[in-house]
Amino acid sequence: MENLIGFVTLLILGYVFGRLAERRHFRSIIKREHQYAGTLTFSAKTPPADMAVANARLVSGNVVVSVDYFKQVLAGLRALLGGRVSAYETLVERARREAILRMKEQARQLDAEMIFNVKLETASISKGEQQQVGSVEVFAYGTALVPQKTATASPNLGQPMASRESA
Amino acid sequence: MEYQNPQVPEGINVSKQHPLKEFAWMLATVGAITLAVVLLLSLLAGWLVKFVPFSVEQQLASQVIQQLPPSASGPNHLQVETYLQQLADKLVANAPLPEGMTITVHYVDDSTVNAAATLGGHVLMYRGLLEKLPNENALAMVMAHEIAHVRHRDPMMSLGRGVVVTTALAALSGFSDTQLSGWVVGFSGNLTLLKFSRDQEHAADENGLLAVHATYGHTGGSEQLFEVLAQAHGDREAWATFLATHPLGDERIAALVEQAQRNGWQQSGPLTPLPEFVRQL
Repeated sequence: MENLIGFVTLLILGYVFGRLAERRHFRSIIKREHQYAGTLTFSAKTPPADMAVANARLVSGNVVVSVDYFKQVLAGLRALLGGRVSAYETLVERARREAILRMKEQARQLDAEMIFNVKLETASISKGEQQQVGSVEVFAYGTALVPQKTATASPNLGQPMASRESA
Repeated sequence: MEYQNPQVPEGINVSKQHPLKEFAWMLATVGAITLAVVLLLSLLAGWLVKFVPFSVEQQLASQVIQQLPPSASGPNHLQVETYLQQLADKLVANAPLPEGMTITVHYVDDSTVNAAATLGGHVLMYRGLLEKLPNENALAMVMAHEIAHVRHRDPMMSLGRGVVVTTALAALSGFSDTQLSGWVVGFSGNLTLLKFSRDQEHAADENGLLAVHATYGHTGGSEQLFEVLAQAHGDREAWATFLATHPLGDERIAALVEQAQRNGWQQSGPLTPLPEFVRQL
């Protein structure tokens, strides 16, 4: 009986806090994605031929997101029955978008407009270990291209890219 | 060429289903499948046990007996054990066991209020229970109950079921990565096993009362055993019966009274006192 109580308690804790954390994270992701919408990302290897590039730098963003107890149980049951592991879909999506955001943040600091050859690496931490909380790591990296500045070196750092493009 | 990142619609990568709904559905499915599998395997194991000769059970028992607490060193230990063995023999003589089946009684010097039957016809009688029993008739009821377990091959069946079900559950839960779903599977499995155990207890009670009646000519004193047990283990709430291995005391007494009435047995008569050396334990 103690086992059952412990199990249900952990399940409820995992559900409540996991959901709160997830909602908060998604809100933050959506907000920052709007903020960094001007920094364009592409998987293509080569930049446009007509682009005057002053500098090309490797930028990267890394994030580790942990799974809550409820999701773990849900995924465990899913492993018995098969089908979409929806419990982990949001987890991986959050990690992916967060990693790209962190990479964009770095690019923004370099004053870059575009990131080419963007790639994502995913790793699961503590995979296969029993009684361990599983977490997912997503690493995003790419080549940030800093355009040549015009003669009037304007301190436009931090301004949205979109407005600079039209300038 | 225009380079742009169109905005991706929100939520296209994620299932719409509410996680709680998904959880409830999967829990019910896994639970139902497990129950069905365990039930089937238990039945199969129980059926197969009939084909295992009692001599095989006795061989298995030799290992179990070694793990029992060593014989107590008290002055009247042997006297008590001999008395218990004689009582068992008397019950067996009045309600014969199948060919080749023997009963060996062990007196365990421990305060546990219990008695048990294990593989190979070995019956354990704890000091804790002996101290609390008011008369020999109640003691005979415990003894006959445990002998009935041996007759029904219940210890062997539990062993068989235990092995089969544990293996099956380990295989089932092994498919999933988390220990937790394994736990869910195990929980539903345990419930099934308990149900069987309660049926076995009822059958043992019934057979035990038959032996007691055959020995004493009436069933008086038997109900006192359940009063002692109920007092020792505390009266449990009715909802707990489903989770308990043994049925509730009142329920068992009612079943015995009903059995006696059905057979037209006398339900009271002269009670045999326990010998002095047992009462002084």
